[in-house]
Amino acid sequence: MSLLRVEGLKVHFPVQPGLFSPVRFWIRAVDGVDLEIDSGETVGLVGESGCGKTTLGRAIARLVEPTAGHVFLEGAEITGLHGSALRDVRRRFQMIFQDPHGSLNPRMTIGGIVAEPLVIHGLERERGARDRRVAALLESVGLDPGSAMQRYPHEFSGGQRQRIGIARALALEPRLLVCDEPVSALDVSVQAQIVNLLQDLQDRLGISLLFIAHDLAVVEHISHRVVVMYLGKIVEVAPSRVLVGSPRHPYTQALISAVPEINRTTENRIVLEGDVPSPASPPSGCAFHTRCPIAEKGRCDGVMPELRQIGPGHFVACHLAGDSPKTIVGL
Amino acid sequence: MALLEIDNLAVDFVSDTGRVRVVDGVSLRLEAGRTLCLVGESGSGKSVTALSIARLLQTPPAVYAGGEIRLEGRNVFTLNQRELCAVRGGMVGYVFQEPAASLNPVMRVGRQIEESLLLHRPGCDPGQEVIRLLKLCGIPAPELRARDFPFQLSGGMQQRVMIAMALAAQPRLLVADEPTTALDVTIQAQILDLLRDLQRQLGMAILLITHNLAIVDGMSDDMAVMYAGQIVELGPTAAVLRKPLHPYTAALIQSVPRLQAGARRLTAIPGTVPQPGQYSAGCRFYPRCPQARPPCDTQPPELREVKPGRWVRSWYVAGEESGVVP
Repeated sequence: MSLLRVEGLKVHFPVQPGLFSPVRFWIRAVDGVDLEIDSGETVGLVGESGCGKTTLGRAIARLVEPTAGHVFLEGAEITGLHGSALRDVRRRFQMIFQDPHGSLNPRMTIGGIVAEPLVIHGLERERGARDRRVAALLESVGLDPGSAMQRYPHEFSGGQRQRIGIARALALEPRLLVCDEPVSALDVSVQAQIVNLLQDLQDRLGISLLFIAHDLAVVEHISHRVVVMYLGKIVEVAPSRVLVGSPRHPYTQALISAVPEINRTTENRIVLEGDVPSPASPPSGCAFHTRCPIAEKGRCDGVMPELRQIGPGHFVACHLAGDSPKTIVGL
Repeated sequence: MALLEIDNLAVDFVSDTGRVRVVDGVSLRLEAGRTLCLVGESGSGKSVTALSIARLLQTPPAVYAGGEIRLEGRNVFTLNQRELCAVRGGMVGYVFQEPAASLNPVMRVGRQIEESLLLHRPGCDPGQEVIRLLKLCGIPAPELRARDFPFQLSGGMQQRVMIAMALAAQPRLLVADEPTTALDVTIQAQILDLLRDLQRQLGMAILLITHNLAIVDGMSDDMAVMYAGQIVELGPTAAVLRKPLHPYTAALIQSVPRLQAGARRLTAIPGTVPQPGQYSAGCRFYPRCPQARPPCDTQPPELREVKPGRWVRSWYVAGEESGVVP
């Protein structure tokens, strides 16, 4: 049984010109997403800004309320839970944020920050035991507890602050970590340290990761499976090596080909025209048809493609993938 | 005479806690029509170097502590206010990281481009020229977009407007400071293509500042790698990326995750980037360097030409016998 199952999840935000005026239109940030994560698995979530990947992560962690759909954790539904029932289930999933500056309280010591989840959930009530627990957590993320516990966030570099955020997230022994762009604010040389740390922790603790990022190379590296989103919908899911090696959706192909790489020529590169359309009024049919280099008139702009299986664990939402050899370039 | 010559530039920042040197002895040459990339992690001094070219740093807290910057042979530190205005946004155009923060939010973008035209090219027809510039930068329906406010444009479009504005005065040098860092990869590819095209058409020199080693390739003729306020490696881009000589450059290239690399672990550089003023006594990379050895901890290495065109600041140079040069 999968650890996390998401069914038909939708998150729509109302847009109102004024506080009391009627809703003018809805932003469909997440528009019908199905997703499963096994225990011990890392699922990567990629897409351009505005595609809904952060909102999906936050909806799974119940930081925003889904408009429709269901989220099951270890078989039990968590949508609709409130109060103490929600607090109990929250112990099993925790979140790591992008900005290690903004997500740590500047007026609390590191010891206090990492102990806070334990205090809130009433664990390790005895002071000495709690301190030992915090020290062990800091050690597990590669920080020296002796010197770190009494210090404040501003005394640490970005990479170290991200380690503190990870220690805090691990305090409640969660089964699932939702990581929202955990390394994109870090320098390249430090980014690799954090990615390695997350992999080590997963090996040791068997936790599952939902790894949200825009950097495909990092996502491919850390994930077992990768999910690609466009305008609130999943357009392709595949084991990470398959997704990067033989992407089938034209959007995935363009996304991969746009990743700049050392020692790769820029010839044959697919450069998409235009910008992502507004999620308030997504295009008809396939949402990608306005930028798609192989879109067929009458088909792609009229009928919305469903996600369908084209290989082991490989799903794609495109009318043209699979049944025609019309892939744009050999990557 | 090169278009841009920086000799031994030193920049300090003064604060309540003291004075720290953030750029220390940087020397660069950029010929007309060429592209030079300045690469480094945060705090390496690359942006401060770039801003110094048109003396854009606020003094204080910044202090130009030494060295010379020459544009077509003229030292910018001796220019008076009027001459400086001709350089700023005139001979040297700037494009910054956050287009949304660089544009005036309450002014139509066409007007913002006109400002530069009125200042630097008083003879031209501003209305016509704005349309031409927007079209040149790949903005569809330029007549309509010129009447838009910045918030009506996407990030990619805003960056195109910024580039149009920088090109308005027909600069000889375009300084692009992390121009694509705030953009998505698909939009980044568009903007980099645009910069390459514009250079081919207009023949200006480009100084591209980035932390992303991957975009350096294919964009620039030469590259300089900065670490802790100093240039640690300088050479032709292709050669530096294929065969880095400085241990830092090599480690940085290694730590970039690549598609289909297949490795289980990424190669990280241990430790963190040092803060200005907290450098080690010898080589500034010494505490994190995989090749560190005795002279490194006490004696700072000089930037030296180890092969024709390849400059390295390290006691250990990959490929040299025994690595260490006395």
